[in-house]
Amino acid sequence: MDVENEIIHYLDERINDPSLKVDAQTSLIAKGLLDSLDLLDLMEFMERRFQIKLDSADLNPDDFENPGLLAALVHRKASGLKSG
Amino acid sequence: MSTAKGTPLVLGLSHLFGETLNMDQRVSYWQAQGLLIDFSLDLPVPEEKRKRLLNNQSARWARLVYMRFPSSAGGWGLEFVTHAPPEQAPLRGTCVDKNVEEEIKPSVGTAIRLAVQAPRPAKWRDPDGGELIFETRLCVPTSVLVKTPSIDADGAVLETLGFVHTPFSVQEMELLKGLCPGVGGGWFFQSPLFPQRAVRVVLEPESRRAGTPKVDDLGFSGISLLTKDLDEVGRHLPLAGRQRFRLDSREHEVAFYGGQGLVVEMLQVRLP
Repeated sequence: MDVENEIIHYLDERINDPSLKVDAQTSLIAKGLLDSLDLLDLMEFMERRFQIKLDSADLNPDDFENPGLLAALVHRKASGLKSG
Repeated sequence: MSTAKGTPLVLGLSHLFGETLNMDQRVSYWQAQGLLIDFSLDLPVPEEKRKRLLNNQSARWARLVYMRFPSSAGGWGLEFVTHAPPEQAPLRGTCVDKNVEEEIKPSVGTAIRLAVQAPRPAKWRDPDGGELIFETRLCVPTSVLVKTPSIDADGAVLETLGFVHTPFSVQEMELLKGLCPGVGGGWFFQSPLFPQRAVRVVLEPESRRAGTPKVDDLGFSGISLLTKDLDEVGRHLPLAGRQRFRLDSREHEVAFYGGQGLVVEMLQVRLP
């Protein structure tokens, strides 16, 4: 499974809504699917699973809007590039 | 004291907390105002935390009840605590034991008030002196008003955590001159990813307070701030009473910092 699909799989299990199928473009924040603590869980998952370190400077809402953008953030952090 | 590379150590406001003399009475009061119980649990009291207790340093257990407005989901909440002596540990059944009520003496009373933006103005003061003010004119989502004998010292702590001191806006000045006269600004924090947890901390001069604040002061005694890295906070501030507990699918880890008038709990939540 690639990064994007792993994030989608994690979110599908976490949100646990049979009526919602998470995909790469699912709007996570604008639709209110994740609250603050869910976002913290998501960051923890990404750090552990993909061996990256997210600090406060990486917490840009644009990067957390959907799984596709989250996967891009993971790739940037893994390759040592700055956020944004 | 300085922040690590200018990176904020906090993510925003989690909740206010405070000791209560009668848990049932206090919870009922806030239920009547529309708050819901999020969870309640009993926790052992770490040795280091006991030193920060004013009323009952032999407490071995604490009962916590966490409440929030339905509309504040994802934002701030209120946490009420009863510290109990060892012979009552662990607390079960009824929330308040008559002996606890008799042993705990009110200390300095309410030192912290919470002002929140809302459609209609209201001012509530609960049985333990906890004060919540609903204002329609507030320019920031949430303001915590904290009495302190040393604004400089507590302000430096807030800046270490990533808060920035700014003067009040005209609208804030108009509102706050009645709540904390003579204060011209406060410390603000907002993480772009957690806008609903933005918080303004207003430090008010308080010369009457004797000694350091305690975590079991009545009313609202401290503020809890979310952090992503408790270890990093510990490298910048001497934290006490570090403790982990499991709640639903999350692990919570907390530790305290006691300032001059400010008691700060740092809270990290993570996957187990």
